[in-house]
Amino acid sequence: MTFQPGQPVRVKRDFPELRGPCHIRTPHYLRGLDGTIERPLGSFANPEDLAFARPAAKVPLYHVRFDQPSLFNEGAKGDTLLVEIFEHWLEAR
Amino acid sequence: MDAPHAPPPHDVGGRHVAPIARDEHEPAHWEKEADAIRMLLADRKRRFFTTDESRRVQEALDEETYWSTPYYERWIHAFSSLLVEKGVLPLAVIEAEEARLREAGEDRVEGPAAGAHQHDHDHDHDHDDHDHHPYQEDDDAHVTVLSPLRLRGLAVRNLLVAQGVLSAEEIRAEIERMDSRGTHNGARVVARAWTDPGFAARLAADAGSAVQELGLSGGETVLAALFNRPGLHHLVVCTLCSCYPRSVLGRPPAWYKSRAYRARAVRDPRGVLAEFGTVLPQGTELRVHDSNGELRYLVVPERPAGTESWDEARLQALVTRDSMIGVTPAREPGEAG
Repeated sequence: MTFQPGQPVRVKRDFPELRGPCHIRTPHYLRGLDGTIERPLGSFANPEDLAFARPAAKVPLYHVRFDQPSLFNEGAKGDTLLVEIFEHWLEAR
Repeated sequence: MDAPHAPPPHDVGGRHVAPIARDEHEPAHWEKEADAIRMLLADRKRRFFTTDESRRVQEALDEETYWSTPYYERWIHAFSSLLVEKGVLPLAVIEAEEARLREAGEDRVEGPAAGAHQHDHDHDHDHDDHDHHPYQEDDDAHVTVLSPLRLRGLAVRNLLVAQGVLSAEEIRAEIERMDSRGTHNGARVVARAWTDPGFAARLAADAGSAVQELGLSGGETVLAALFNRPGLHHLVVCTLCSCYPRSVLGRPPAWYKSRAYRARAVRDPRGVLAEFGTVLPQGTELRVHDSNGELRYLVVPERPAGTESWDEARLQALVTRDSMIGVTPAREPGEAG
């Protein structure tokens, strides 16, 4: 497990959709944005491989917390968003 | 931050603005059947495909097709495409069965709705313009020709049953299993959590195990309970598809799967709550959960004031489906049905 609760992270600004058929569970609106690790959730088979019936390694999954207003520069101060994100989509910041 | 390309159609978080169409309908039989067949094909006995494969096929649709195709027709598209892809049913065999059904007149259904025009898609198109709907009504007989995907669903069902992949009994049992799940189950969980602090603690720690104490299933995914309290309100959405705690609450309502709800709940969550008539007390943090992956979330609303003397059975009547998604609070005591 690479990341610890409370650790600041950034969602990778990556767009595998440009490189060919894929199945990505990291929503577009979060790519490149800053969040904070809430807690690890365990490891789960990588859906990016499951989607094509490929052997799927288990990958650590985290709850990542975001400041809601900063996602779209609108919304109410203090509101938050919690999303499950796989480790390979996260980088330390 | 703008993406360097248009996101695929399903990835709709923040990308669409429209009122949420909240019309409700009991799922039509063909919808329940599509739901059941899709689940059975991926169950432990059959494992023809994974949930992510079913999603992948739908995500490959173009934006207009994705959003104009009724929800369960998209599921039919996904499972029939995967059965072809995996060689379980050759396309020629499916097409031959479709031709047989047409020949026999079994592609026609009596009744004006016939399930084709369902409310699983957004109503941001013009309703007087029926050209966009995948069926044509007969002028005088109220007979509806099944849409191509509904016909495909029927053909695939027939072939799977004929080949012994599924039995009609299994389909019926799966439909009944899902029919038996619903708000009443979730209400039992919430009312028990309100009245039994030990259960509430177990529910918070491991909801999937805790609900089994009530004879409910935690499901194949990880069930998580989100406790509303003064100062914190939870709201659940799935921006990428329709992830929902089906093992407890059954099939999700149409609005939960709509483009407007999926797009707006992460961007304008307080505006969404306002549409449901919910205004949070000043100083409350609204926490949105984009249920995009392995966990399924059940909101435990706050116990309404004035119910201190109520027993568990009476409290259950205050727990609505919408309060367990987080779009409304629980009913007030005076509103109990």
